[in-house]
Amino acid sequence: MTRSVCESDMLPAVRRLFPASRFTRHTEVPLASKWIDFCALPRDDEELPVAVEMKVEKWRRALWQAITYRQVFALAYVAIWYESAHRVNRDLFGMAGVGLIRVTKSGAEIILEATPSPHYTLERMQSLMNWPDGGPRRG
Amino acid sequence: MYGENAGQYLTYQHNTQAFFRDHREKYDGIIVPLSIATAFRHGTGGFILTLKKPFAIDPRTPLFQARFSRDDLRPTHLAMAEIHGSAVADVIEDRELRPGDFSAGSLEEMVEGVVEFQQTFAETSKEKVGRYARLLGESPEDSYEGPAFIIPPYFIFEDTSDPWYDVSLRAARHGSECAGGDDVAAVMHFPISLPEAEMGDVVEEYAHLPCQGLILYVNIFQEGQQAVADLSYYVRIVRLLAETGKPVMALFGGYFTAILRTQGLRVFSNGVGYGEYRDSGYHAGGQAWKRYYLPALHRYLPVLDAEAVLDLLPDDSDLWLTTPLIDEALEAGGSLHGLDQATLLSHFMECRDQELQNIREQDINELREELENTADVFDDVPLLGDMGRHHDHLSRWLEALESV
Repeated sequence: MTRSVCESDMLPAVRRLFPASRFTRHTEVPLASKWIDFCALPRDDEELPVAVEMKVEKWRRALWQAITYRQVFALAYVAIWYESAHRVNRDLFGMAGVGLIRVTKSGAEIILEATPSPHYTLERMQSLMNWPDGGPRRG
Repeated sequence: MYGENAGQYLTYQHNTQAFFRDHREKYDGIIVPLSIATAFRHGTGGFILTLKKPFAIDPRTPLFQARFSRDDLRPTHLAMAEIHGSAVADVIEDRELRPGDFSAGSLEEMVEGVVEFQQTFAETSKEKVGRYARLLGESPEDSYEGPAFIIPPYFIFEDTSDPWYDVSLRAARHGSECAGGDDVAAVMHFPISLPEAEMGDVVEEYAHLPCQGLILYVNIFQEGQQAVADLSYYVRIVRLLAETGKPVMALFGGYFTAILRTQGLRVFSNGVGYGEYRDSGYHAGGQAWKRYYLPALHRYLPVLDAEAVLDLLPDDSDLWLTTPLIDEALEAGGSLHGLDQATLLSHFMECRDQELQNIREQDINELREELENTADVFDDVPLLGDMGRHHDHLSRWLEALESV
């Protein structure tokens, strides 16, 4: 059943978790040799920048990607399709500080909160991100 | 030939001249791709000659065998074709080179052109030696040494029934015969899929060529990703070649290849920052991402992955993770990601220098033990053992080396 779903199908639900009133939202943002599926940058200082790796099934690969995003972003999440969510080892996510988002046909919910990365500073993120020409696309 | 205590040749890149200058003592020789030797003739020549390191020019002939859109042809391809003579120059703008393109005498013409280019490279490329000698704080000399050895044109062949096998042997033989008193190294170039049952014959044919050395070039041999069977086969090829008595160089390789020094490999070459393997048919350029050489793993990782790995490893792991250069940068508040390419490359060169020293001083069992210890540490760190799997190659290397 999951074969008919792809990562891009999960995007609208994930975006709704980070509303435009509070975040500027960007998809497929380059970070060194990687592409971040989705990131949300807060409009005020109250909240923290978020990077999200979306995967239908392969949560281990997604978790590693999210771990690397924590080198730059304050919060990193893996968004996983609900049919694969029960296979995820949540202890590993907790150990890594990576949050988990469960995506269903009707929406998305954060089922494990990410913990802030000790590496994050706004200055560091700004110096390390290589936004494409003209800046990231608005989500 | 290749030097008695040699270890590493570097593939020359025009955009990293400072690196080649600053680390002159940490490599044994230079392989200059013909494409660069032709595209920046005087700049390359001037620079290489004043370094006064052994060098050789790789004709990279298999490029002409590759099928790619002629829209992607570059001026350097045409310049290389011109040096390769009429057989290549006649077809390059329309299609790939085929074995049947060599009419009577044209293979010999091609070989002689390529050999002559190499033999006259020093004499015809010294226009800018004054400039480069000054950069090194030296005075220009009246004459400079040419290539340490000549590399005749070579072709990739799938197996011994491939017509390119015969063409490649003929080119190597004629190159050996027409090089006068210069040393010649013949390149054996094939994919790892070449049947092992034929390998003995291939090695024997090359061993009987009137050349002084052999170069092993297994196409796209990604030692960090190859299966155990491929790695073991590679070890057996090296041993077979070493038994011929001719000195053997591996064109492209990393630490696994370097370890094969213990099995009779004299020297290997690699690119700077990337270039542990190469597809000889690759015709385009590309962007090199910043990578960090993680000495414990003996491999490069993308900088973000490397930072994450370093974060996750316990502080008391005792693994070799950095060099003083990197420690200094990190203590000053920097991050691997924030380091410039020159620093990352210098770090690699420090690591490689130390690796080669270890390989010279240790036996195969000690080298294997070090790999095994590293694999154990990584296995025990939950996030690395379960997901990162950046160390999987170590167990494959160990298994392949076990067959030695």
